[in-house]
Amino acid sequence: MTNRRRFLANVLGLGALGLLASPFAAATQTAPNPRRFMSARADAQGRFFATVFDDEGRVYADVRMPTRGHGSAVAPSGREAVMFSRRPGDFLLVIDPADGRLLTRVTAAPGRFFDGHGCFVAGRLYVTETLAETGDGLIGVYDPQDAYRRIGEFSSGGLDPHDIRVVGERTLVVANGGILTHPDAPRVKLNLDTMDPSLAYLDAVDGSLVAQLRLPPSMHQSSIRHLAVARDGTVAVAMQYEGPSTARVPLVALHRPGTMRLETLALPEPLLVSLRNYCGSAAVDATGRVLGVSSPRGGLMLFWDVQDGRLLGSTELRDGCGIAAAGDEGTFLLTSGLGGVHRHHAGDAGMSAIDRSLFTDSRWDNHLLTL
Amino acid sequence: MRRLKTLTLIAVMTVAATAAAAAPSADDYRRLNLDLVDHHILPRYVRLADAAAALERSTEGYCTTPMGTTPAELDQAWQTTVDAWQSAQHLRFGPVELFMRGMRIAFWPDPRNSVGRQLDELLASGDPAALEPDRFAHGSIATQGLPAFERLLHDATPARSDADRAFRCAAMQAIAHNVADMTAGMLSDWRDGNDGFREIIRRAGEPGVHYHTPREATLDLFKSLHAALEVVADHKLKRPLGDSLQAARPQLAESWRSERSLDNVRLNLAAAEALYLGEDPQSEGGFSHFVRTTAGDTALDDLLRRAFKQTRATAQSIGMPLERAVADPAERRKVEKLAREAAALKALLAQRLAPALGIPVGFNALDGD
Repeated sequence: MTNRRRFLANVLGLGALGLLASPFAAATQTAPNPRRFMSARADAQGRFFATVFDDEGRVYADVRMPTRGHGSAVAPSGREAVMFSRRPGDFLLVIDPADGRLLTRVTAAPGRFFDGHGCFVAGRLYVTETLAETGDGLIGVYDPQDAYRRIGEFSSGGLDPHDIRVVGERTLVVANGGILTHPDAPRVKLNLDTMDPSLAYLDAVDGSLVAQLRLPPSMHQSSIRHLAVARDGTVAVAMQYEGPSTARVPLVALHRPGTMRLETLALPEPLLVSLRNYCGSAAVDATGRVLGVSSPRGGLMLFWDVQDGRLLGSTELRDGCGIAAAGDEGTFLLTSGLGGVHRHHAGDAGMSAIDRSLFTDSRWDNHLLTL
Repeated sequence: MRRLKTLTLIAVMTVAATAAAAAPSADDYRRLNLDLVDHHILPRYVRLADAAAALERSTEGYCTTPMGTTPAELDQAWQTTVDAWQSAQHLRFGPVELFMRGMRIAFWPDPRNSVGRQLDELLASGDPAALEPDRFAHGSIATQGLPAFERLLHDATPARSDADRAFRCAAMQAIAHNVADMTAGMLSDWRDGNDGFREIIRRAGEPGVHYHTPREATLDLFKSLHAALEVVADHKLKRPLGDSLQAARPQLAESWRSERSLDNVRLNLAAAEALYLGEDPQSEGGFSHFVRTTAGDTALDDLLRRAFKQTRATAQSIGMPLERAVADPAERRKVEKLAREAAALKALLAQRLAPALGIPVGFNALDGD
């Protein structure tokens, strides 16, 4: 560790957080098994892939996709991983992350399209979907034991469900983006005047709505899209504002367990302006204590201490969007849509690129998953 | 066809050699931005505001003065306003974003038929208070603009009574007033005062200004150019074309009721080309001049000029309205060719022009999720 890094870290208070003193950090750096990640990407020829790789530059799976992928999910066993097609998506792929073998391909149910995210919980795969005719948000339920057969669905509690995560044993938390779309005009936003985004908690087993949180009505154009869950159960929300680009609105919020409100995180004006009203992805580090949020339009990654909501630092990465925990405390792997996979430690000024041509030549999609 | 393949091929070659040139300076970007604001953006908003004001007068004459304005004159005033809107629709940043003006002027695409449903509701209510300017401007956005006017003008079911006929006319007046109000507001918000958007672009880089650097404003201009081609290729052409002749969907065309969807596309392409070339090809403005001199890539400029010219020529070659051409075996081929060319041009802009401008646009930044 350089002196400069220690200096910056101290200035930013990382020392107090224990990010430097961890004996754990040294151990994982020399761990025999490199960490593996999954992401969608396009190559220089514009072909799409679902790719599993490690932070030393090895590639385990590189599965061709007919269209662009988006989010991914890994089964608790680690032996099956799912890549979702980008919304409005009509398929998902189940692969073996160890070798890229295609295990199953699931087509969207009639009249529904995939929204690009999903997660495993309680022995099922839960997928955000939209009923095309009405735009209503759904959670599709799939059985991994039965070739990912679709065994049910329930309401997501709003329009435009996007990211989905699990908290506790059987509770799903869903980002209802609130935006109405229609397959006849893919991705065009049809209700910006009446948007109603929400954060919904759903019981995974019976589909019931456990709780639903909204921002104040004045923030109804802030689309709640991406989520990260911290160790203490705090859910971090990364938003995209659909109002005028010259407006300044909070883009990151926390929902702490035991409360019923979304607490927005303030940013110094110059940083807030830099985000261009758009956050693309969120992740917490391996300790579950440091939150990272990316803004591809601003070319900026921001890091917070979840416990006290304090900004720890930021780093610039043009079109940087993919972000995932990379082992050590405060350490993340970052990817860019202009190419490149980088390791970064929250509070450091710079980052280190992983030197491999496939990494630098790929246009990495929005999301990166730690396997 | 062969030429198109060449275009497409070049579009996917991301590692094409570019002439070595020094990185553009903040002044280079500022000059480009202000040239386009003064010679492209402001004149187009002047024309739009003038056309909308004339439409408001014309509608008033049609509705309130017997023999004051003929239906043909009213239609002409509406067509002129749509022409002006189609020539400015690609500008998607700045004052058009405020108060959702862009959507309120023209709610499209409208795959859920919001315009029809909400207009029917309004007409069924017959409630004059709903047309009062302030309430109308804060009501449902789909009924506030030019597509709703088009329906009242070109696709109205016969009036049920004199009162119904009078209410429809009052609704047209409310729309015309609302559009005139918004377009005058946009022009003023661009042009006037120290916080006008022209001034914000001129002062890009100063502390506290929306744009941290002049290059960021250039990015917004580039995105407008890119979006113009994207909307034409992916929405205005691809959707009515459908997957085959049998699956053509003419009613997904933008202005099928007045059969002017192809005119819209031609105006969009002309506007995009004008934004690229600068409004006066002899002047030192537009992206084209920047590419030739600042970026020093005359080959790219030549290529883009040819691509715009060819795409516009294809649009010109289609011999019947779009909503009929997509279902006509011979003309449909031309529409398909136009859609391919517009898509190839869009790819060229993202993959060649953006890097030449020094603003490489990424995988995620241009079209988020």
